Amino acid sequence: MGKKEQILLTLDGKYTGYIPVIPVANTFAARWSGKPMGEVMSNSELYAQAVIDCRKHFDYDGLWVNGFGGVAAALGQGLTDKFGQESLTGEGVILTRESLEQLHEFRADQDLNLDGMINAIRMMKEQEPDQPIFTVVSSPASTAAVMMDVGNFYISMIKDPEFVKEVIRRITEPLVESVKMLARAGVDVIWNPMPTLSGTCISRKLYEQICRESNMYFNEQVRKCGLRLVAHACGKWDDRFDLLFGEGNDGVHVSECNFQEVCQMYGKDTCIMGDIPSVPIMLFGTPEEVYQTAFGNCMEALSYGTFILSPDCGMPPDVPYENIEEMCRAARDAVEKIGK
Amino acid sequence: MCMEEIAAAVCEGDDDNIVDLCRMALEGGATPSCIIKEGLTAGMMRAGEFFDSGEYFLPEMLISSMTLQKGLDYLVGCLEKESGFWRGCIVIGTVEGDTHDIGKNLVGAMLQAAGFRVIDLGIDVSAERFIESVGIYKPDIIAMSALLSTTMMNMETVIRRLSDRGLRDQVKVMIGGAVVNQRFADRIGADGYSENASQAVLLAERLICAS
Repeated sequence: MGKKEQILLTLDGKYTGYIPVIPVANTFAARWSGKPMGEVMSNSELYAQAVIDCRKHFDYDGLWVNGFGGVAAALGQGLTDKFGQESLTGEGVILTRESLEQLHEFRADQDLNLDGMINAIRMMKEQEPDQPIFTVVSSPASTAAVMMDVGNFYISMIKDPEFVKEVIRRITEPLVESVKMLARAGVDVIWNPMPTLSGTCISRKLYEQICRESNMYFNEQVRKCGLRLVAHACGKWDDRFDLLFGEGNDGVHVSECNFQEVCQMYGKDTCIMGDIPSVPIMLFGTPEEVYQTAFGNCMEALSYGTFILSPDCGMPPDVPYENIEEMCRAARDAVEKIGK
Repeated sequence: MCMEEIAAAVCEGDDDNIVDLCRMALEGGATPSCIIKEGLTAGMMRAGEFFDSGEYFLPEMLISSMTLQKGLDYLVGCLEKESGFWRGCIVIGTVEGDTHDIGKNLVGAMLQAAGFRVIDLGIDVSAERFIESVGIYKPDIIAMSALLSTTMMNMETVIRRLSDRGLRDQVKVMIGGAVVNQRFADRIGADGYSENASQAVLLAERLICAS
């Protein structure tokens, strides 16, 4: 059985005698390449090559296609943002209901951002056919937050929730169209970050009232494309894990949680991913601390279900190389201990 | 006019009525600094307590902060007539490469309400702009925010350049943001770290006293 099959089966809840190690290593790989980060992150070929070479060097799993901000840019590029400037990214351009009328039409087949991603995916599939390809696609609510300006989004959630729902509705289909294009190009897993919607930011009540329905619809469309889905529960989700784990995700990438409790409650039905603290342990911890944390995570999670070892958020670009080696070694040792 | 009404308006985010309430308080003989301290700031502190206890989240805090800011904007002109209100000057900004500003704005509003003159450099602020601000505004404190593990190291760059230019002794440095903590602050040589906006005010007060 190849690595890709093993990893996809892990997400399907089947233990294959292997613990995948999948850091979200896009900016790390760009830094590791030695080229200026801005240049690598804006050039799909340089970026793909950096990701491929970095993965091979450290022998972890998975390839990450650079985060997709294409829908926001395609809909809102050129419109005036909250600073009164012409936006290049579509961030902060939907400040009023009137600005909704100014959004451009979205054509996935003409989107330059998607073109770059598809080019990166092609290179990855050619050079590393046995590695699954992950890409970051934000949920409709998260994308709405970006396009409305996050502060305005939060305030509108209370003052004008129907406006927020209208923006989310407007953004959802373009996102689904993009996912379909990415699926056709060969992406295997959508990794959905929801940082603005965690318990660190909004209440469970607002999450349920405004975001959840669109999240569930979006997840359903992703799965219809034959893709696996991992939700990143960035921040505090303890008061709403029951909702998240009921939204049709194949995996949940956790952070800042009671790891044992989450594995115990939800690990049987959903693959758990995490949970090495990115900054205090991966970036600033000793190799020994990384090993102990990673090994502990593996042993804990595998008692209940399947597991992917990873830092609990994006891997910082300055993580010491030794710490990555120790993370990988911990997963191998855990398999030895548990048995194949 | 009861200060309690102003405090409640801030805490509940009643931004439509806050200016009228402040005007009535002034007409009733209250001084601007009294309205700020006992009305606006008290209301924002109460909102901060609700945030700490998990009753309020960012949307509620932002609406309270917006209400506070409206009241401050109305009163700040009158303050110039009162001497001794400002307790120090703070330059605040989100570091280079980072465009997150919600936390930074909350901290800025709270600091202003607490009597600090706040110079907001905005988001994506280069190390050089922070350094230049020392010469321009002569701040007592530089307050930096970062939300990304990819940008947090830019805080260290600012501190290192302050030292390289011989400016480190002239200004205190405080940091905040989701990815940083006290350990990181110690590591990069910052004078302090705060976890949230209300703690940032206490930290600023401590740093000003210490200097």
